[in-house]
Amino acid sequence: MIQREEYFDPIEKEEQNSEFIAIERKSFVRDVWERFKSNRRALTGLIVLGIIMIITLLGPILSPYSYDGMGTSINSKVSLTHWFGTDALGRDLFIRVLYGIRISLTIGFVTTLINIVLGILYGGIAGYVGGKTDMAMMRIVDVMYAVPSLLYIILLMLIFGSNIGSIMLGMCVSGWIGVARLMRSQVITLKEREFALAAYTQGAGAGRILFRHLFTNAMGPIVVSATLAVPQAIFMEAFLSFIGMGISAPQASLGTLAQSARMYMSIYPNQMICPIAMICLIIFALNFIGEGLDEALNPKGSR
Amino acid sequence: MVKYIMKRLGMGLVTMFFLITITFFLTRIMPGSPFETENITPTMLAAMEENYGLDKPIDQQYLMYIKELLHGNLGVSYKKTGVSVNRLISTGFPVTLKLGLISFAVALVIGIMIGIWMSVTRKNSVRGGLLTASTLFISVPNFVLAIVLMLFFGVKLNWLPVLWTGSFKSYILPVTALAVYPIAEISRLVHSSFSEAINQDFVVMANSKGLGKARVHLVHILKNALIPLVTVAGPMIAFQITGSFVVENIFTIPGIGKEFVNSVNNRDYTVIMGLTIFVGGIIIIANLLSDISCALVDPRIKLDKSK
Repeated sequence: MIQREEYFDPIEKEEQNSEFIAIERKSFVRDVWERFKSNRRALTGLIVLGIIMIITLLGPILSPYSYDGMGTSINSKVSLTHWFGTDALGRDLFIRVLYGIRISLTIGFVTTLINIVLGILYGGIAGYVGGKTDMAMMRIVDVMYAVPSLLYIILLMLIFGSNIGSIMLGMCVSGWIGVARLMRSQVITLKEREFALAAYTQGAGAGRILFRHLFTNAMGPIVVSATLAVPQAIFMEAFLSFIGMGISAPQASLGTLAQSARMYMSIYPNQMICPIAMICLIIFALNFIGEGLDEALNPKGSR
Repeated sequence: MVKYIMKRLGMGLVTMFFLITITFFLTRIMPGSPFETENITPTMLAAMEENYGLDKPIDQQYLMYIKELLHGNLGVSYKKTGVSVNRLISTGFPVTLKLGLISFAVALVIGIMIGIWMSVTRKNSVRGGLLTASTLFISVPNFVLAIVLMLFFGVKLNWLPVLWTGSFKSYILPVTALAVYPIAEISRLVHSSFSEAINQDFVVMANSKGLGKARVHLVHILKNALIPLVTVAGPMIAFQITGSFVVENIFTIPGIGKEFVNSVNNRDYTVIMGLTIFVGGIIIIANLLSDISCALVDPRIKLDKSK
């Protein structure tokens, strides 16, 4: 290439702006939020979930009934004093359903959070190191994943008792593996990209490249799969409690409430319908949010 | 191809071994002796434990258990004397299998039909409605569906029996409860692969040859659209089995799912162990078969996975 002297002259002020991009700059979060907002179903899901959360937080404070306080009206129907009716011991069902929602949401969000952290660490390391280590790490995971998670949960609940802790532990045994696989495959493709190379040549360490550069780029699919894992965890807990293998009395999750209503469900259908309707509502809302996030974070058409 | 199949089979064996080992040791660290009841003397307890070989060191017990398993013996119940796990399986599993196969067949037929309908319809409202319905039905928990079906058709309308009798009529509700989720899943899958296949060259070719619409849709497109179904068949079977836990429980069907739930609630450790290994084994084998048949049908899948 011929080097001419004028190449090295400083450029004029106006020329500096020649690469100015004239569209409005949006931050990543705002961009995603705008796309999410335009999805009606996702927005509805978010609003419904928000309302449910506010009611569950405020309800027990404002309500005249307590979670295990027994009243004189037994098995009462849906009324203004007892919005969801009362159960066989005269306890207000509305308050019990609210506590059940708390348990369900706690289980859903906490297990998902733990699974994300574990999965990102494991998958990130396996993908970044690569080679034989990666092979060995992923084989171990394959074996663990092939055993249905329901069996882990049941076995652990028999050892540690039927409580929230053991159910969450059981869900975490193999729950993180999906995230780990996703993170690994993302890291494997992303670590070959130019920005990773650039960070490396500037002297960034493995940890910084992995978590600052690769992780932020891999986040989209992981967030989506995590959002969809929350309703699955909630479903699993409700399912186990419903067949009598989950959380036991006096704690009452939504599944436990449905289970105890089973015997008299043809006489007092409200005791059954209220908790299971709430389970469905929460699961629908979360699934819609997950779907909306999927579209907002991984747009197919707009790129 | 042979190498891939061998590798998958090897993985399956390792997984089986892992399942057996963790089930054995987890069952052993469960609190309390299986024979502990209110009126039992320590000497009786010791005698019982000796009888079942529970006084031996744990590694010997483990070897013994593996040896018995290799002979196809899954152990005996500690709670119900004289009842072996094998017998529970031989009475319960056929019922579960029959229910599972019927509902899977129903799901396959209806799911494929709805999937095709979604793809070929020109009315956007129909397509949208079907898609929304399938999203909703994927989210409905199976026990909720079973309960609602039971309350509505069994209790309110009194059309169908609520309790299991083994008659044709008593199959309808459980099969529906088990089939709805796979129907939704299959129809979505068929819809996406069908709409993808509909624009491909071989379809244009078939159309331009003047083949009838039905022939093009049902032979040329459908054949290609069904490949993804093989992929989900394995997980679907796993779902059917865990689904049977709750459906059998609700409709009081004497299958393996009900047996499993009962054994957990009774803390019948050997039965839990035996059934866990059995159910886990079936799911592992189903996934294995699904993986291998995927690779046979579509060699590209194999390449993807080995990356």
